[in-house]
Amino acid sequence: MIKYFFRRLFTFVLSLALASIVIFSLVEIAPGDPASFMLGINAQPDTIAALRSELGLDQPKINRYFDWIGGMLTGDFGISYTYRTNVTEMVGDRLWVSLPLAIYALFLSTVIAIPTGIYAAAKRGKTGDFAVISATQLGIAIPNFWFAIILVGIFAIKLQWFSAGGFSGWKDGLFNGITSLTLPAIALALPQAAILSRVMRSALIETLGEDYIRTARAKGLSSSQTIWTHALRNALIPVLTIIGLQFSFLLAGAIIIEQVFYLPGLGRLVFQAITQRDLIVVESVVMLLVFAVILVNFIVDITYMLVDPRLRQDSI
Amino acid sequence: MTLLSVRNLSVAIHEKPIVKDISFNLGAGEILALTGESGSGKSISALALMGLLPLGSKKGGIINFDGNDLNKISENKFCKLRGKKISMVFQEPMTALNPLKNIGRQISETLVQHKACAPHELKNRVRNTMDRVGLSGIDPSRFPHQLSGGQRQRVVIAMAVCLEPSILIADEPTTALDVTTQAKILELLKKFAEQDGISIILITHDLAIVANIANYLILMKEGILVDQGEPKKVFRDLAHPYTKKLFSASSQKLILKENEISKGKLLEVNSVSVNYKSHNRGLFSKGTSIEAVSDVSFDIKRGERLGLVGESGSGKSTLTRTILGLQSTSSGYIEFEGKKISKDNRSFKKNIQVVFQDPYGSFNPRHKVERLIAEPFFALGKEAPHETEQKSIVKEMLEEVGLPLNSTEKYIHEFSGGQRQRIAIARALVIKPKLIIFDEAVSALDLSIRNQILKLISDLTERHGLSYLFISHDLTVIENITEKCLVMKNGKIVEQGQTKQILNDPRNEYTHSLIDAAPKFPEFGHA
Amino acid sequence: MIRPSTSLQFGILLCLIPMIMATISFFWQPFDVTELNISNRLQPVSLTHPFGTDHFGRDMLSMIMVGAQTSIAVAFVAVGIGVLFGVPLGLFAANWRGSFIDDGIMRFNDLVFAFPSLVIAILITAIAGPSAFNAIVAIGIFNIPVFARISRGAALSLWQREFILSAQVAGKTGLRISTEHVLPNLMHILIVQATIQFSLGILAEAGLSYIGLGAQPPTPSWGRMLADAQTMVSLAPRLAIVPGVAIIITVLGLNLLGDGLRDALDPKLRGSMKK
Repeated sequence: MIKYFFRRLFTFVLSLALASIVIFSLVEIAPGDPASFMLGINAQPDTIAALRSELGLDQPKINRYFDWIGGMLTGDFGISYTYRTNVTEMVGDRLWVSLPLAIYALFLSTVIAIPTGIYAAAKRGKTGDFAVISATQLGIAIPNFWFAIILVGIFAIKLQWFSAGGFSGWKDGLFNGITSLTLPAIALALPQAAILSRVMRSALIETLGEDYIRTARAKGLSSSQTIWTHALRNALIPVLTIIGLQFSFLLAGAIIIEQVFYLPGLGRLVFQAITQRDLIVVESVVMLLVFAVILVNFIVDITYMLVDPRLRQDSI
Repeated sequence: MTLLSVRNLSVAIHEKPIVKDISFNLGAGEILALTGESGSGKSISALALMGLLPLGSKKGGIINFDGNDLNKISENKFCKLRGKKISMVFQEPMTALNPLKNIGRQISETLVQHKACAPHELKNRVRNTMDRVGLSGIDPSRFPHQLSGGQRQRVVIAMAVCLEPSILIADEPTTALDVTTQAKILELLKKFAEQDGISIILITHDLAIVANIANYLILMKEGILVDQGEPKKVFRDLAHPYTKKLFSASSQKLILKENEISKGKLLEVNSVSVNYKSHNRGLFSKGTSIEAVSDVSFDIKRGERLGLVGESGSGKSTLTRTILGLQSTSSGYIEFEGKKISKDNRSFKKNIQVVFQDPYGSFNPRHKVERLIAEPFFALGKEAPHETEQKSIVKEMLEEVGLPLNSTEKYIHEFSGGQRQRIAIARALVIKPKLIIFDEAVSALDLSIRNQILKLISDLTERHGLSYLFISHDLTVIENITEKCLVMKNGKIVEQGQTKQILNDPRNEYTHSLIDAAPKFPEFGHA
Repeated sequence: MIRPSTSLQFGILLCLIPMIMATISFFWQPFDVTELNISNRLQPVSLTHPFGTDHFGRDMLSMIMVGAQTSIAVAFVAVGIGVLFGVPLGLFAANWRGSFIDDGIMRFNDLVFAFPSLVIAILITAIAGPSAFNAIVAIGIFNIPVFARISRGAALSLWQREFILSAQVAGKTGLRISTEHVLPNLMHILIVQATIQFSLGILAEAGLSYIGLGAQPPTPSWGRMLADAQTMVSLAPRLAIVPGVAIIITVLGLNLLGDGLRDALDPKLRGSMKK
């Protein structure tokens, strides 16, 4: 068990190291000098040089890489080139939008997907199953940002139940915050729920075909009892993986939805930073997102270990 | 006293009739054997009795048990019977248990489901049941993957008998197990029938088991009941032609014709050991290494037919792979005609071929039979005959193994298991090798087909003066098809010599236990 | 329950709609999509304009037809990139299973998977400039690990099969076995995965061009049409609905096609039907 844990931990750290190198190199090859970009086209060469040295851009690449990593590890993400403010603070502010949004959407998606997936598997081959399959097929095919536009058209413009966009922050109370995140969360959750529901259904159906389910039936368990006591837990492993992947996708992949609803989230931050050549922000936010994905994968791996006794044994 | 009476039971799956009009009675404490070859419908009959037929099945007839017709009662009522009055043990102990729950909980599930005892008594009941099935030393908190196949089957049996059911249905309960384990499990089942009065319906393809353990026998063929009665009487009279055919197939002795054996060694295996590194090597540890084959030496002369016997985990598959050059040795060497086998040893590759166990996995499903059989020509390199000649050799081979010539244009899924094994033999023979390795080549086949294939192997090797190494877990096969044999256990060869001598008078204790455990026909007084 | 063939037929039918539209638009379009005609703006649905016109007076049907070209081309080439690089990587890893080469390829895979695809796609298009070509590259890169992983997984189980052992006994090399025995038996899995990635590619292209990083004006694209429509949603919801439905039909069609093919091509199922 300890061996398994440390192997995962090592993979986790290694992935982070590799990812940081890739991100750093990608940003390095991006054309456009941030210093001249910041000062505009009329800037004098010596002022540009001065700014470059102030920003540390004249340092060798290897030094800058380790400065960046060192800063990240101590929570100092550097100073934004464009806004001249602390990146850590900027990211922190945006995280207060993106993180609740991701959690909200993931919550919705799980709450919809797990029961429908179980229902479809229990009714496999029957009308109820067919209805769920058809609905999920449609759900996967709908682009979330289009769904978002339609939601705005109906609920914000026509019915005026929600505002069409923007986010006033959490200071106006929890309820207001949640309300302004509701439409984006629904838009994000729909396709995710459709995928998750299909995964739940097929994992459960596969498990229900296992021999030990027949053994359980031979003991006198009814077919629905076998779902709850035997199949569900075993089918949850692939579902867990997908939930993990979806969380990291929701954190980073909300860029377009944030664009639709004018939400000041991480996605919009990185999008604007890219167009403004604010490389330090791009680097930091992308690294943060990659860190989140790798961390979630790591947690999912460890959860496997807790679910599956075969992984708890060291001697295999 | 009749406990269960089945009248005109029939089952159709997706409109296809599988079981046709079966009737029989089961008395208390009786062991009834339901037997037949694959596709006879014996397992489906058992599932019908349990009410656990797959989706899309339709059943007819009457199953009278305890005043109820099991074909008519509600699913709810049936659930109350299953595990309590009628229970079942399955073929595959490796997959029959939930891998995520410990065995104690899985056994207690039967008790909890039928509210058989108070919660505080559960632990004791589980312990007692485990002791009864021979798991005395095993902690109930262990998980299935920590147990051997035989132990897992005992757990499944424990779940089935803990409520003292009237009927226990056992579907090929020992087929997936080694022969020594098989004997013990059968012993256990017999004890439940004799001491506890549990009636057992034993489904098996093995007539020797039937002859030794059953009080009553039902023989099925393609869903029809063809013969029934007390085993002694059925096997003595052999009234039905199918019974006769099966019986002679299982008791038949093949006569190996003499092969000319030369002096020189064809294959020499010299103190070969093979170590496996365990797959989960850690970052900081090198991982433990497992010795799968340990200091094995033997040789095969030209024309010699050698058998290799061993149970699962004995290292015989690793040894096969090593001889084929697919696995490198850790120490020792293997020579073919005096030259070390290696990737560059052409004469070795041209002269050695293999036939595997699985008639389904041995062929690329996307290639036609002609291409499948012609594949070994690749080993000849530049010496390979011209394409048109290859085609005619392939046809020749098909003829030799007794398949129609138009088979060349077909795909492998169009053939039955026995036919596929014939194709495998044709493929092995196509480049006229000197040595063929048969790796459990008949183990997946039904008895009557198995004998045909063995006969074919014996005829062909005689005609072509071939040598072979025949690997099997089944002593009767080895007895029929080899002159000399090796017995392997835990990677070591524990005994070797003339097959007849070893089987009649084993020197090694392990060989002795193998021979004792193998089910044998009693004498029925045939001429 | 829907029969496999039904799902296949529906899938083909739905896929044909955008395909035919795109093909026709190569030779003929009802109206020129580059010509702006403000006086003709926001025309309702009529016989001359079956889907009406947009806020620049362009014919919506023509734009959808030409937009289909862009979407299909981008997604198709992106799948091609994934197959071309991913499948050999996967086969290679399976051939050297357990070795450091296998480890390396799988680590690389995990790494690419860990990157937020949309962010990297934005980064790539921002570095290289927004264009349909760069969108293809950005989407294609993320298809590589998908195909690498799926072909490695399936190839690994094939390598355990005995027919591969007998090919090895005949002395065939890993490369030869991979192409002769492994690849043909992966085909059905790859075709199914390709249709799924194709549909994901259509969605990704729409997303990228929605935020202005896909095909550039005046080339019409479905995502850009949605972006333009957003401000008009209250005025003319049709502008958003039409391209959205076009995307949904295409993606739905491809997914149904994938599901149908999965059942139709699986040799296991085919074998069981024979029995």
